[in-house]
Amino acid sequence: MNFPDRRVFPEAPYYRVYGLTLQSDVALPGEARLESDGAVDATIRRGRVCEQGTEFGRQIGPYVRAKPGALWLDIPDVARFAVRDGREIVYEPIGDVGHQALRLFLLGSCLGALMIQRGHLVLHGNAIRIGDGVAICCGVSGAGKSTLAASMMQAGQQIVADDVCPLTEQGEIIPGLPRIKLWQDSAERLGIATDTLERVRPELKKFELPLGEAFCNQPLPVSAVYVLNTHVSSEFSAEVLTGIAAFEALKAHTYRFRYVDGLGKKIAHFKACGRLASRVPVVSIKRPRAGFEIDKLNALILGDLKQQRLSA
Amino acid sequence: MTPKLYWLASYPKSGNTWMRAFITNLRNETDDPASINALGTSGIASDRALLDAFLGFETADLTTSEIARIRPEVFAWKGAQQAQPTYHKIHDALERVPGGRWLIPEEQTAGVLYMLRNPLDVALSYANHRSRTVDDAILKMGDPNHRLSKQTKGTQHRQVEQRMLTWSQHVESWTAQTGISTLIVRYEDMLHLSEETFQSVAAFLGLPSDRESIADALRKSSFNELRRQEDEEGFHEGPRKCANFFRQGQAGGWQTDLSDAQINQIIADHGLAMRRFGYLNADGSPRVM
Repeated sequence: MNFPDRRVFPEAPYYRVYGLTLQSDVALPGEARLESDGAVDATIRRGRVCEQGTEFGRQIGPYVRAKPGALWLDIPDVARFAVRDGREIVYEPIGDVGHQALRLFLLGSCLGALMIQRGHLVLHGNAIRIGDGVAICCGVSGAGKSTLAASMMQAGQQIVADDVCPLTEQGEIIPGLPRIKLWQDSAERLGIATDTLERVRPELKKFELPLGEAFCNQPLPVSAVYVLNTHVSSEFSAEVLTGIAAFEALKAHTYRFRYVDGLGKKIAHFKACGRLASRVPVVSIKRPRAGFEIDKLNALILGDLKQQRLSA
Repeated sequence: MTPKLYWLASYPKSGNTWMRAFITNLRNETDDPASINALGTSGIASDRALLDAFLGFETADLTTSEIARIRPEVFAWKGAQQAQPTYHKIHDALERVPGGRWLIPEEQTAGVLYMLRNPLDVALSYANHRSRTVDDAILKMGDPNHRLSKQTKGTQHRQVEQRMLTWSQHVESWTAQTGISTLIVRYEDMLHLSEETFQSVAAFLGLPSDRESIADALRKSSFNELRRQEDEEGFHEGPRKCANFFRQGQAGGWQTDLSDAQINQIIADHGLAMRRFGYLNADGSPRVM
């Protein structure tokens, strides 16, 4: 494994993201800037990425290839990406794609793959600081994760990570970027004006909300994992999952499980899921699919966490 | 390799869910009717979670045209990986997506079952489904730009955007193409000629089509059964606002519930397709079925 040679890459600014010192020639959010010229953990740079990706092992999806240590991602009409050895992300833009689109996939899928390559268990959810621990809220697209995080933030909680939640071996969550992504309608529901916010991509009505003081930049232990979903009942429900159900829930809400498998990390990953499930409660939360009573959801999670602590 | 994907295609409110309940019951070996909240067909073609799971990145980060472009590739990949046939509901009109491919991958498609229903009745049912007026439903059915789960609103829908075209264009898009093996069935025949219609469907889909199996599956997916379950447990696919997804399950409601002006408007908009599928008499008046 080679450290990237900084001499071929002298001008690019430094950033601190997910506990890593990164050098990137794509502008990342300014709040993550780091004044340094020392050693880097990983680099993000423009370069050639082969069109078919055949040197990157087997196809694990229509647009993804992977083998141990290497992942290739092809986002049609946006860019091709190569993520190697937990050290390097190379991108090749297609056409005149803007930097927002590049950044979106670099900070999501690519950095997620890089953290998996570095041996982290990465969950797909939002990490919310509650007291001296963190609740990780997972759920499928549209279950209300970001709305929940933003509303928790309004209620005075800090956010540790949005979307990509990497954990240390000790079960601590590693802080991400001081921003969360929010759709127009979620912002409206929470009374957040979007006219001054930057869009994640010019074409999408999805915005980046800077967290400021509401960002927690310290690793903190995970207190519980919540899995959000909706159901037809008009009542909220919370059920602690045990045994295989808790394990399955963590597997299902792994960040890009497909990558984990393709990168040859499946067994280590299952062990890490098992360890986490034995250490913290995994709770299935269901909310009525009609209407979205965000305050009730917040109260339910805060109340449940309190109860888990008392019984722990 | 034999193609593994079957498509259950229709405009909304044209018997698709009923068909899925029938297929699930036909494939199940249990004595009890299948739950409407666990229909064993394999997810709607516009399901965001399904697309994301195969993609390895998120449709939420893509533009509408990028999503349209990747949809056939996802299903081509999925179809090539699976050992058993799957049955996917789809409400989109059949169009070529950016990049030039058909929305459904031809090489992995085993067949298309296209269901259609008298648009006079669709209008009534669609209005109820959308919790809007009948006139609004008629307008949507005549709007070439009508889309479901529109992405322009800045909402994270559970489904990706679906282009519907007009009702007539929808019918035309699925029934005029000749490259893909297609069985066309009318909702009215599902109702009035149940046995033979469902038998031909089962044979087309490569499922058991003996009389006994068909009759048993039909019993377990009867309108009364579906409605009973919806009343007791709710239906998670139903629209959040309207009272019942399974409304009447009948044909001909238009005779009492549509005004003459509404009937005339629908015939003006969709007369050609209506005539082609037997919904109009020789004199152009709507046929009572």
